[in-house]
Amino acid sequence: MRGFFCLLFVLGLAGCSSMGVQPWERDLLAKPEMQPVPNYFENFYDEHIYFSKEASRGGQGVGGGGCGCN
Amino acid sequence: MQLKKISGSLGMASCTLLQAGNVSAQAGENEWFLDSSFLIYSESDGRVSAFEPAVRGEIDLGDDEYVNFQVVVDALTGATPNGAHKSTVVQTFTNPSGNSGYTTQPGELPVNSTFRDTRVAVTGEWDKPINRLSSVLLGAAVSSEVDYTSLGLSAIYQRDFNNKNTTLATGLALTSDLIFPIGSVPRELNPMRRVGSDQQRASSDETKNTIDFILGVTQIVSRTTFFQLNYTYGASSGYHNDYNKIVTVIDPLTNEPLVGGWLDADDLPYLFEKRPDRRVRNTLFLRGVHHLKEDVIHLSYRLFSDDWGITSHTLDFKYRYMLTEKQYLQPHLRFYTQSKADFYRHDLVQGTDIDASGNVNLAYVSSDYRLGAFDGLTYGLSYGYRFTRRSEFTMRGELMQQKMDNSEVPRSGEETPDLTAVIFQMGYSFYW
Amino acid sequence: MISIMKKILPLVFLTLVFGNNCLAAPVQAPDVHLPTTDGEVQLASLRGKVVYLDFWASWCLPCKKSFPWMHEMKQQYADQGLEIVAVNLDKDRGEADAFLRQMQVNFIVAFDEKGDTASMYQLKGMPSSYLIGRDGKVRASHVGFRESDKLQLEQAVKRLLDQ
Repeated sequence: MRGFFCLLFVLGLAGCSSMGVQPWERDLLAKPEMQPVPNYFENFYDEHIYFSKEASRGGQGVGGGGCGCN
Repeated sequence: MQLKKISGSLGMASCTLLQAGNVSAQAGENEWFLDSSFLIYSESDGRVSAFEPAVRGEIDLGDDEYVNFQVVVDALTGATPNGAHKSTVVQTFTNPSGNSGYTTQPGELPVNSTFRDTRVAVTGEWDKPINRLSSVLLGAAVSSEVDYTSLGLSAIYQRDFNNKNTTLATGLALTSDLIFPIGSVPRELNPMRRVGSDQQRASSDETKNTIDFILGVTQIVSRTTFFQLNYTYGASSGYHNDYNKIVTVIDPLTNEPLVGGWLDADDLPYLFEKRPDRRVRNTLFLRGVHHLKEDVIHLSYRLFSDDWGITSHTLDFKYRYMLTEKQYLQPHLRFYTQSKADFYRHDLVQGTDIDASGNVNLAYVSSDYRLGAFDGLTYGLSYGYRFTRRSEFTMRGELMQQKMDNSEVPRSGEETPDLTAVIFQMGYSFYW
Repeated sequence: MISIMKKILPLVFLTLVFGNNCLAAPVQAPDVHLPTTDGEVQLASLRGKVVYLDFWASWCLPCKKSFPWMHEMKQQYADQGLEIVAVNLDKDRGEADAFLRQMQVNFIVAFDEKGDTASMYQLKGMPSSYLIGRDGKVRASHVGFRESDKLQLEQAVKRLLDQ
């Protein structure tokens, strides 16, 4: 099962290197509603509720996106 | 909520810590960003209700360095299913303390209504840039309730590539839990004992340790779209039982909970559950965010699989409809399905699953419906109003439904009831 | 011929300009000819001055911090021949104007809505700044704007002014 996940991940990663936008074209990506998690507590409470009422948990993790400034 | 009591705060600690979403990239130097919110969660049929206020503060230390802290209080009331199922007879159970008990009428779902608890969780994080293209996020979390304490530490390293169009992140979280049940830890697969008798407990406390590893990539595709793909591996070792949960022993001759047999005078026909002392989890999470002319779509899919035999799929859809530049309405739809754990059982049948001396011929067993097969559907609506660039009000109402898979219930009238819950949340955030 | 030059020049520029470094072999700054808040600006007509060329946008938070610093620099060094040109890259002019209304501006603000000038300068991030000497050659470039950058940038400006 672990091998399957690793393969999926690598496939997802392949072909990433040439995609994207110029640094000055991130106006929309900088908007609050375009953040991976636009509303912190909405996401926090959901994670908490479903973690308590279901057998699965987590997976969301880490950030990127946004204005890419500095 | 109750599941969190068993593998709960643990999960909460590392779940919170492995969510590095830097929200307040709008603050000025040494400026505070304060976010406050509360949740009301209420299940139908007198089951669990929770009130959860929370507050979060983040300080911009300048040059992309931030520190934040968060306090969440979780006040729970109501009744929670104890693992036994509906029956045609009256059923009697004993509370964890051993000094009192409760009765369930025929046709009623047995629930433990002395369940009341308050949990406090405190988290702190430090987001420090290493150079223009990389940063590290360190986190610590502590949570405490009447029978559970959890401590967690995490570290996430993030690196940008391709003019910051690609971001790679990797992280580790360690959590350590101490479980000290009211009335002490019961003996696994041993019967619940009558009120007032010697409860024959196993030990006073137990521990559980967890390690989580995450690998993630965020990729900007165009001016309007980006994706995130995360892989998480988790392994936990130690006490995984919910010490409050029992499994019914059925007499195949009467189809009712066992009377007599190997049970002694003070035994009740319910055995305390036993789960494995190890659990390995793999999760794959994919998220896509797309900006339409004015509105934004958030769509995510999560695939979960563990070595307890549980596989689940989650699909989450949010459509942020901008009413004006300052206000939005956001419908939300969430589909969920999970398979049952290998050791999930509706009950144990005397003779088949248990021998004449009371020895269970299964390694592990649990009747906790949360380890069973079910489908979940949540739908809701959020509303947000941004007063200025520096303050925002949000609220939402949702309906959550869980539809149990009762296809393998051997006797009619014993179906696990579906669950319906109402979620209401309100929040206000501002810069100060 | 000109169209080939338009393609090659940015590539040449790209290979010579990187990060925060001063250039070993300074390159002629690509021309900037853009509308401003009250007319237009052309880089060629600023020959003889030291030009701090900055690229910014309303959605870029570090840019908010760079404006007060640029205002201070212009005040202090204008009489020594410093000129500041802040090129805006917003797609929505209204957003840029709202941003400018909150700022004290004593320097040239130009508008490059289509991003053609930004393309020529091959920006690596937002904000980006280029120091152009009195001879019209790019002497230094910098990506981002941090509190800890201010001193280093000011020293680079002074050095060029003193030459």
